[in-house]
Amino acid sequence: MDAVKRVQVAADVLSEFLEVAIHCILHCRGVYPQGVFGRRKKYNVPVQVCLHPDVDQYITNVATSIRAMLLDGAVERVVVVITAPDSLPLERFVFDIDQTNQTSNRPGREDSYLLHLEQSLRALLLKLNVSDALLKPLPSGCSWTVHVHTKESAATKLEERLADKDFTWVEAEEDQQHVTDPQLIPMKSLSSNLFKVQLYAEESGKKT
Amino acid sequence: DPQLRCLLTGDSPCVITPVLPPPSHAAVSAWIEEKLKGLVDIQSEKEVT
Repeated sequence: MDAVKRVQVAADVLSEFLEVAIHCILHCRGVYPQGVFGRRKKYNVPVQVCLHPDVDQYITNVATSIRAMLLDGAVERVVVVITAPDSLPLERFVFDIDQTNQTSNRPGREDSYLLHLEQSLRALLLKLNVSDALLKPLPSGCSWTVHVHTKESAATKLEERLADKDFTWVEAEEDQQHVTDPQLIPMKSLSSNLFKVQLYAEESGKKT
Repeated sequence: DPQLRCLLTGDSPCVITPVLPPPSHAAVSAWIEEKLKGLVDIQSEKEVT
């Protein structure tokens, strides 16, 4: 696989995974009623997907934007933030992304069919599915958002790249980027020829 | 070093978020209720016929 192809494949796989992961987080944390989720299969495991058309489209738009930035290798971190009704961040699901580990194929470690990668992504999803056992319950009426840690140049280029000009991005407020009295919950790491992902959660100590 | 690269190129890190918020819990709950109401109406029509 040449370098350009490798970047494209990495962007496609990662953005698709993040799309599924966002659905998974929203289901696990009860951000939306359970009845709005339907079961689908991804990476050979059942996953819960939000069937509300606007939520589904919103998540797709987020993933499309992230893919555009991944093509430039400009995504350092993607964070799904769960906020209280008063907009206070209560939980952060952090996906630390490292695309620099795109080594050339080494004998015995090619994973040409991405089987090993699929297995690793499956493990990440399964860990997300049991995250409610690691976190305290959320109050009712929570909402959510996504933060992407990137470069200014990538953010500017994103505006020019996106076909859907109705889905735009803006710099996140500083106070929205941190939880109060954070408790760190390590979850899972993934290492592949295409990229590395480290998943962890931060929970506010002030959650009631 | 990513930070050094940023300083040399003048490309600063930033954190971005969508301008539009996602659909609210209330909006989704209302949608579910409408769907259920629609199913009940269909069922009632079937019983009548």
